[in-house]
Amino acid sequence: RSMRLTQILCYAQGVRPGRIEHYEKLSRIMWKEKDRFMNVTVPRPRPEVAAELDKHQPEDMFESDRYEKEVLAATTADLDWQAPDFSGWLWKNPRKQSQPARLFNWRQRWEHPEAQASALTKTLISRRLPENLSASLAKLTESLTEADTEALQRAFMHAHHWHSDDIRLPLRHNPENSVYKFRTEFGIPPDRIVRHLMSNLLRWTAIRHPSCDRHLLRDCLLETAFHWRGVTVHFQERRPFHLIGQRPLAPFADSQSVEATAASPLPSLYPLSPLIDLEDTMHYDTSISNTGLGDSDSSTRLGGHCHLAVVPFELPNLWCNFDAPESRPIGVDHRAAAGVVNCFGQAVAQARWEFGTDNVDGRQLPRPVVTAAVCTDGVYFDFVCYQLNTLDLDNDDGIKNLAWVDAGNRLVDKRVPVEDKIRLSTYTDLDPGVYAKLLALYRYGMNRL
Amino acid sequence: QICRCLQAASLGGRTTPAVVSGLHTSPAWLKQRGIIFKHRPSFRWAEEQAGLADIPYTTEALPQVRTGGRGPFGRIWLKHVSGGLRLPTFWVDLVRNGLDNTGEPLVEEVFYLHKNFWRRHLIALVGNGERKRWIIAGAEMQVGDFTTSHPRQFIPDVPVANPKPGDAYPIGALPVGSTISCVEQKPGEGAKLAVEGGTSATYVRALPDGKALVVTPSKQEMIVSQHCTVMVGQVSGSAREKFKSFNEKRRYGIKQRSGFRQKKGDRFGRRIKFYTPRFDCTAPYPVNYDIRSYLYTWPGEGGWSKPLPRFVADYSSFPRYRWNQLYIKNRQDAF
Repeated sequence: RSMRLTQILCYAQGVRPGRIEHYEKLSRIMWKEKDRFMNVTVPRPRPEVAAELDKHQPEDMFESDRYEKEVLAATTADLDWQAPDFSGWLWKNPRKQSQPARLFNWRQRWEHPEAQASALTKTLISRRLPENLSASLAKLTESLTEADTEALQRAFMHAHHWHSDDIRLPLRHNPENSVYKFRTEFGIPPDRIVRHLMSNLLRWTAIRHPSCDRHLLRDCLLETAFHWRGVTVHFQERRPFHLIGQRPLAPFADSQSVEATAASPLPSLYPLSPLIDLEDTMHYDTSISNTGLGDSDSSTRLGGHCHLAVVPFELPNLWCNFDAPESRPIGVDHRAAAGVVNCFGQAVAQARWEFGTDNVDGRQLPRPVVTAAVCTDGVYFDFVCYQLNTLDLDNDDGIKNLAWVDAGNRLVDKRVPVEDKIRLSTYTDLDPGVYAKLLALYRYGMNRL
Repeated sequence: QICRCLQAASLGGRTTPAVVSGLHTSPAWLKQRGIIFKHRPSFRWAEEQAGLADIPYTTEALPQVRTGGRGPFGRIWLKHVSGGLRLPTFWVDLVRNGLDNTGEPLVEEVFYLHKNFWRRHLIALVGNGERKRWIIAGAEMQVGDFTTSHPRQFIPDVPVANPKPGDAYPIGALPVGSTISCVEQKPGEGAKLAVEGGTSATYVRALPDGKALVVTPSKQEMIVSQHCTVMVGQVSGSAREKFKSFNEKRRYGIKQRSGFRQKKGDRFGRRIKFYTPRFDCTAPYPVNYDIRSYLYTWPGEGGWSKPLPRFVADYSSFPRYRWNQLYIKNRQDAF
């Protein structure tokens, strides 16, 4: 009967009299011949289950969350931890504010990097390592063996050339010859080069100079804020490596030299303001202060002080000219300034955890907070040591913070062909002195076994 | 729709607002009276297509707006436009007095002089306070200099002696005979004259009623207001050189034309337009009584100064349009 109805609905227009009987006859023949394919063997439920079929309705597992809360509660009953409530996370955005705030962004070109960094953070920058470290440098360079240099060489080549990453690289551009068309290439992007290189180096140093007092943490998020003349500046930086120790680092400068900084003036930036190259965001939370070890207010924060941070600089610079063709190459000044401000943010987050947010903003610290950082892009290394003495940034008078920067250390002379493939680049002139400086920073806060 | 309009014309009365639909071709749009584009095909339309229309000012590199010469109908609107290198452009601020509200001169530091592929002059990255922007660089501008842009109200009784090249002044503040560039036609509109590489204009004479006479690089005299901002000195870069090869033109997006047609001159009923002697920018635009002006202006006001309306609500306010002038040549009475 249903077949007859569809016939009438589909073929009723323009069907001549007598044709319907013909279609019916055809359909009867078709059903007769194809009957064995049309009959479907449906599995029937057992009689005892058939009576209760209404209870066992099929469930759409993509949408049903019937037992989700029970399962979660059962598995976490013995833990002293409550699962976060993600219901409505898509619609709620607690970090979105109505007014914009400044965000530190070192990827934007700074025009007067050192002056801007010192005016923003009230620091005096000196282009040398502190005396505590430079005294031990000569001994460390002599202690380097052939195994060290070979490991350094292998670490570098593995990160730049041997690693199996096969990712499509951004297209290159030569501004002097705009017409040359580069081929698409596959290899290791610069951000991963930094990761691979630093993981290799830090693993080798941990083997050679072990200590049970420290451990390495990966993929840390630094989140904090500070106030500069009534303007809030936020940090939201992601770092690949943090070297954590249980004891704080000893200060690089004693109290006498700290008090002597009150007489030194800061550089002026007329007609600019130090906030010129900072980005604006609507997504921030001023109450958060996170050094990468967990929320500073919760009890789950891992105890420790950041002894050494790795800051990656994967940008167009002297050795890689791809990414934006119109971007100016980054110089040593920019890298030094960005390293200083990164260390400042690290120290601010540490100080807020140690002394409390209310006791820190706009005042001199009771005890200086000391951090260090290694800023690198895979070839050039900048070593930054920072001592935070005060957070009174509303005026240029009084005690200032101190920073020591040793910038522009080239580990290997990497030459990328100007009009050829990247994999044909040459590597010469390995400099073990750069590794000695890294060792000096690594061993500064170490307790001997 | 056409028949309905013809009926109305024959009756001699006004029509009700006509609902137009189904007109997809450009001639059909242009024939109907009172029907105006949603907005006029222009660079603004091309920007909207590329997604660069309503973005805030940035100093970052921007992609070019490329339509291949195609207009809003999908067919070629401009000829000989195709291809070209995929190199970015920068958004240059042509209004030197950025924010004129304070009335104080704007001192900016020159950070960087950049040579862009699409421009023959250099562009300078300058900054003041927390704001950075690109401007057209003067010939004698160097990195590290401080350039000042004076407000339009700054017109002292005694003109400024020895103005520094690269600075921006209103014309009335400069001495007569000075070399200037990046001249505005109307105050606040943006630089229009002497903007290309190596060009310069001269300030010839001060006229009464707050006007000034300027000679453009094409040796044409122009009367502008004394409040128009200009840059002192010549524009950086060099004048346009001849294209050296066929491929060089293609790199700039200039497609070849067929060799069949000849250059059009002032023959066969066509005339090359000349500027009037002493083009007066301070006067209102002349009234154009051409028939096509009914399509793009509100009648009765006489001029192009009114902005183009987006939607025409009252068709009855248009004057009676006489079809027999264009389409009915030999008949005296239309329908």
